[in-house]
Amino acid sequence: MANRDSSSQGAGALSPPDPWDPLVRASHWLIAGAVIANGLINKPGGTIHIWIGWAVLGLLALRFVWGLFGPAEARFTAFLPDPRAAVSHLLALVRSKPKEYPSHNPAAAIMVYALWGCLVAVTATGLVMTGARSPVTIAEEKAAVAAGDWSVLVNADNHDGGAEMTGFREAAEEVHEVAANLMLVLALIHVAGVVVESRSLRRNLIRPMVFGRVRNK
Amino acid sequence: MLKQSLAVLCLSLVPVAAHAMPVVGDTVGTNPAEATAALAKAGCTVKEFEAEDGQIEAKCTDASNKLWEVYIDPKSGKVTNIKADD
Repeated sequence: MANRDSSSQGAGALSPPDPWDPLVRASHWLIAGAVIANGLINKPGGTIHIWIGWAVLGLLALRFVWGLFGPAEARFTAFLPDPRAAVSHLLALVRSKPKEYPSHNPAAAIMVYALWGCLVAVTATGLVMTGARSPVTIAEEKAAVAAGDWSVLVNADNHDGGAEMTGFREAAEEVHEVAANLMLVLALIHVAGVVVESRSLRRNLIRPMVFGRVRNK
Repeated sequence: MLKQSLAVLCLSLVPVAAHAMPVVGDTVGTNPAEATAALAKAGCTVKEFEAEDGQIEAKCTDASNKLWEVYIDPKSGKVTNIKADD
């Protein structure tokens, strides 16, 4: 049970930090909420959808800066993508003898980069689809058109790119949808992975991402 | 017999299909009133107009109550794209 106890020793120990630092926890849950809201609940292309997309861009930027300058376990260098190590970790998991790692385990690290890749793809294509106009501008346009005034769009000086631009936007839309759906599938696998890993390590891996350690344990 | 009736059916549907919907390039107008009238004439009853990506998106239903998204350039009043709402 030495492994379990080491979880309370913080960064530099054999197991991931308990709790994860506040920025990692906050960005994790805010992005999880954003993915659920934009992927499953709100109206695609609506003002709320676009606001959330911009918020995700900000969170991603913050997290990436944290990946360079944050605490050791949050840095990219603590969980560089290593497909071979990921495979051997999964094999160890099947034999229910996974090792502990100071940050994300190698399989989880691949998942982190895959999810980030999807987030970047989805937000970037979202910007292409909206011409990178701010959610405020878009809300004003929608309100004006709903009130029967189309002139705001004429003055807005957009969409003069012709057929080529339309094709580009349509391609962006395809990528946006495929990447978003892929991300939802990956998120499910991620949750399943956390459950399996928690059972295998006999340790709740969700708690450090929520509250952190229960001190009197 | 079946072949014949199918042929008749197809032929009789052709004119309907040809005139049922607006097509890309049609000029339908640069304000809600004109566009509603033009789209109705082309066989699509407008439910609402929305701003989407700098264009006007008209949501309209055809004779069989199928929902379509007709994109209109607000500057020229021309239909730029038509998509089935799925």
